Amino acid sequence: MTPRSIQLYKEVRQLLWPWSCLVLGGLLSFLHIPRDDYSWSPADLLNWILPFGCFVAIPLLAALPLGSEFQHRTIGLLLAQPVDRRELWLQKTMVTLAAVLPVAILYLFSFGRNQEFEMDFWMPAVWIVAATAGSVAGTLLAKSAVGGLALSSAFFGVLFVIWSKLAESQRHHGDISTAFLWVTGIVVVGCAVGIMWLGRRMFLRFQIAEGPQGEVGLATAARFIPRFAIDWLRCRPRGAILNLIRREVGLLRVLWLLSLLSFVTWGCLVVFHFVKPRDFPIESPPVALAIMLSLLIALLAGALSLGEEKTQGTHMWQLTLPVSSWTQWGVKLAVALCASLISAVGVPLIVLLVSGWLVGAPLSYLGNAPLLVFVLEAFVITSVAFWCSCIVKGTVRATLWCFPVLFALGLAGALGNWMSTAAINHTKFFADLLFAKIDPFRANRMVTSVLGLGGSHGSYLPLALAVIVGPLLAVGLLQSHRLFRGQLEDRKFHAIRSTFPPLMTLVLSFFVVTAVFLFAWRLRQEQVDIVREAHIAIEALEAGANGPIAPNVQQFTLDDLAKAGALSIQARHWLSNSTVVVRRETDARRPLSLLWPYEYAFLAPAAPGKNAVSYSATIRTPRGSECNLRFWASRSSQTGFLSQSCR
Amino acid sequence: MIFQLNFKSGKPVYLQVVDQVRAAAASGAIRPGEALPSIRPLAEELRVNRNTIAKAYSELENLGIVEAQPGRGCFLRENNGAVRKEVRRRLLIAEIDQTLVQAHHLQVSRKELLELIHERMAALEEKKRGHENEKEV
Amino acid sequence: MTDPAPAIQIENLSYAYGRAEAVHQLNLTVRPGRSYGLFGRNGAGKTTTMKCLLNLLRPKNGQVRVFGIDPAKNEVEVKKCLAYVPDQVAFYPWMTVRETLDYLASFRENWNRKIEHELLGRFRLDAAQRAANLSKGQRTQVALIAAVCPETDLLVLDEPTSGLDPIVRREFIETVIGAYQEGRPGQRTIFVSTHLISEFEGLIDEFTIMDAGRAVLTLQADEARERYRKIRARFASTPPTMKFDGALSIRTNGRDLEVVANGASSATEQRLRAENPEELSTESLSLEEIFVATLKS
Repeated sequence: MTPRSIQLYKEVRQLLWPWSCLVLGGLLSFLHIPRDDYSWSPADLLNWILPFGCFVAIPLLAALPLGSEFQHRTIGLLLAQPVDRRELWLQKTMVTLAAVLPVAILYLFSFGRNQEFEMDFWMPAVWIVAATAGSVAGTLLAKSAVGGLALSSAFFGVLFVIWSKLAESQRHHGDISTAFLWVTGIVVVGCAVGIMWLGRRMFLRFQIAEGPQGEVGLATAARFIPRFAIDWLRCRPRGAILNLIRREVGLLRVLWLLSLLSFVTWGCLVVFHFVKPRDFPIESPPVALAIMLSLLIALLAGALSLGEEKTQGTHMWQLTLPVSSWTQWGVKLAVALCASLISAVGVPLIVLLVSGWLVGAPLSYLGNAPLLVFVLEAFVITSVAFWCSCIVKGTVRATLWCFPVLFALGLAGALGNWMSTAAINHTKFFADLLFAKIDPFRANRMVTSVLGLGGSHGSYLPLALAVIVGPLLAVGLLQSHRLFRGQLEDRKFHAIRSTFPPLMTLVLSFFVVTAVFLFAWRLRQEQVDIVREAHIAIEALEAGANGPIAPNVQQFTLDDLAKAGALSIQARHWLSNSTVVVRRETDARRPLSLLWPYEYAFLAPAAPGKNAVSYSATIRTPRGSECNLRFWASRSSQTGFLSQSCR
Repeated sequence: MIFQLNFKSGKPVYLQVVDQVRAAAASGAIRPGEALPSIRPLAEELRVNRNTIAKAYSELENLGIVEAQPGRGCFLRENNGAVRKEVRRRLLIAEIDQTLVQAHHLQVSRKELLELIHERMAALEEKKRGHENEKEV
Repeated sequence: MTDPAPAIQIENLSYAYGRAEAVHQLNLTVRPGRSYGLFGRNGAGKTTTMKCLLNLLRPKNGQVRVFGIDPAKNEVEVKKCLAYVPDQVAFYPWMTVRETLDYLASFRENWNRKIEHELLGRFRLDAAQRAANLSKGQRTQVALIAAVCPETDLLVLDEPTSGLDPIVRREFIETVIGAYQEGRPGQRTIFVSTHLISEFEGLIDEFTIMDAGRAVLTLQADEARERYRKIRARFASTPPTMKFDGALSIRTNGRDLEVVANGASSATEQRLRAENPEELSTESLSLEEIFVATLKS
């Protein structure tokens, strides 16, 4: 192998795993997993692959060739070799472009095809070009990959928002004029070339100024922190827990800087009227970017504290202090969550509230914003990032691991769904076995509470959430504490193997939840079918018994019904030995609410060939359930509304 | 032979090596025709700069004590060296003068000095005989 | 015969990290074929000086020449002539030893495979082991192999043996003396900075002691050992208080007196002898003791 090919191979090898994951994510984003009825499915996470990939992951990939040199501390080794720095820069740039280009094309293509994001695909394209061009400069300034990403986002984020504003103002009839696009394209390309040249120049003149304990580069910002904050941040000889908290706050330095940036970005959004009162266009590019930024902050909040400790090598030493590992772990997790709350959620919230207050209506900006979902997502992302940082070593690796883990969680949930659907709906044997045994009438209470119908308002939903979230949280927390305390494993695929427990848990819990739901649904369907058949039979009887001497109240047995109308096997089985009391009702006016005091209502036809007759009926089964039916026939037609309630 | 270096003696290292070789030759620890250790292994063993050992060996060669055969190493010369008798006498006279000065400073009388010389010569003979005996065995 | 170009020539070198001055007006010359030691306490500026040789740092003032070439202008030429072992050795964690050596070989025109094989065997290193799993000593050994194999004329070592066990330290020095110096006897130059001076005592021909960025003492090793002497005397009663020119330190303890003399040791000895001591002995100082005595005075 020629020398150059050996060196290029090393560059490529560094990027291999992240690049493959990104490609996988991009391919996954083409998938459209069919969503079930209920409101939120974990497959929704898959929808976030695209924006995360374009705005965060691809710039991170671009920053990796140079950033990993800093991470492994081999930058000195590299620069001490008898090789021209221009050659080095050329190699790294070539590899970056070769890696970013196919992935970018993949993601942008998927963007264009995806209707959920009404963004025109060239907006993320511009972002990718800008961030890739600035990656060398940013990484050299910050002396780390994550820091480089943060700086690039800082620099380009604000520009991007301003430029989007210009683009919006140029929008005629929903399309942006091609002249504007061309001008923008040329300007962007020019800027990209300029920044790349700047990065090259910085690299050629780069000095390795710090010793082995070098700072991550953002410590110079300490000059700008006000005095009292520095004072509070200084650790005292007493008060261990407070010191732990102070240390955490110090470790999260990068986060505070990013919060500032996020503050500015959200401010720009408001100033440039990208968000208006009662209008929160979540799909427009600048808003999506700001949200991305906040979610990135949430991610870093989880990954930074333990990641930085492991990189600096202080983690092992900290474990030898006479503080219980539960305390240390707990403090880290708590501070991470709080930091995420403050920086990722709090900053946009404050900006929106303040701007609303300035306008006069404090909550106006928040009107349409999906606040709860956002808080939930931030919470989830921070927890997952923290868990990832317990598994792998280093902030960058933890950040990169978050993405596959989140997607895997989404897929696990979808898998659980699919498994239970297949089991209950499509496995005939299983279904028949189960349904033959359970009385749909007696199980009514359970069914109604599961389906959230009638009086019991969705008591199942919190339970379902608890079943899904609870075990996952428990497993995740326990596992993360165990890994926090333990030695860093170096076995192959240790990281992948560690993800199995939570994934299994999630699959199982989703399976259980969905299975219960489907089960109840089937039972309900069965019950409805039986009632419908009974109704038709009753109608036939009523219609047949029409006459001046027809009794108002009649009692039938199953056999009477069976003679009058066709009853299926299940109906016969479950209604055997039951008594049916029917009273003719003359009042055919429908009440305003069909549902009260009944549980369920549907459209039911009259007996074939006859007019519909209103009645109310009570079915008592020998097993003690009682069903009340009320049928309102619509005038001069053959249908009506049937309400039922069972006990 | 085994070398013993003392960095605290104030004497340059190469001179110490030279002196130790000379002492060994004088006491019979090395026989004429025997090979001295090669430069590289000796330098590694003593953890001394290779150039220092090289300098010592070239000094020994200049003094006529060893003979360097290219490709085969350094060998101790026969006692009838190429250096002429007058030169040898002159070198020895210089050494004797130094010893006399030293004796004066240390306030050793002439009689004592001569006694000492006899004592030391006898000791050297002992050593030589010892070496010859063990080599026969 | 004209003097050959010095291997390293440092003139009035100055470097500051921000406002803290790390190196101040340093002057140093290393002739080819010599083994030069740069001694100093932690933070004296040794590593900074070495980084300036490699263009990892650019001097604020003064100039640096390696074999007559300026590293800031022609860094590739300079780096081709020298090999560097840093104080904190870090390799790419996923690479094996074999891959690391091949990677570093790809930058060099010569690479002596025979020496590489021999040293791998001597250090008992497994070529298939990943760099992340190597101990600190093993990493240093790999770095040394990577520095010896290109067969450069200058070897720059920055605190190479700190933190290593005694056997690894000995093997390190033996390799430098053996495998490295043997290649071109008399032409190979070694520039080592360390504070484990006693180990390099035999290797060093010339040295400079640095303190707080300044060169405090530059001497040949033999000369230094001759000049610096420790004279101990025991008297019958309390020793007389005497002043000696050029004495670095004078210590008394009971009836014993110890003088560390810098030059003029015979004169000092004579004066002491004039006081009629019971015992009088002289010994030379090792380089480490010279270091301590110089910096403590």
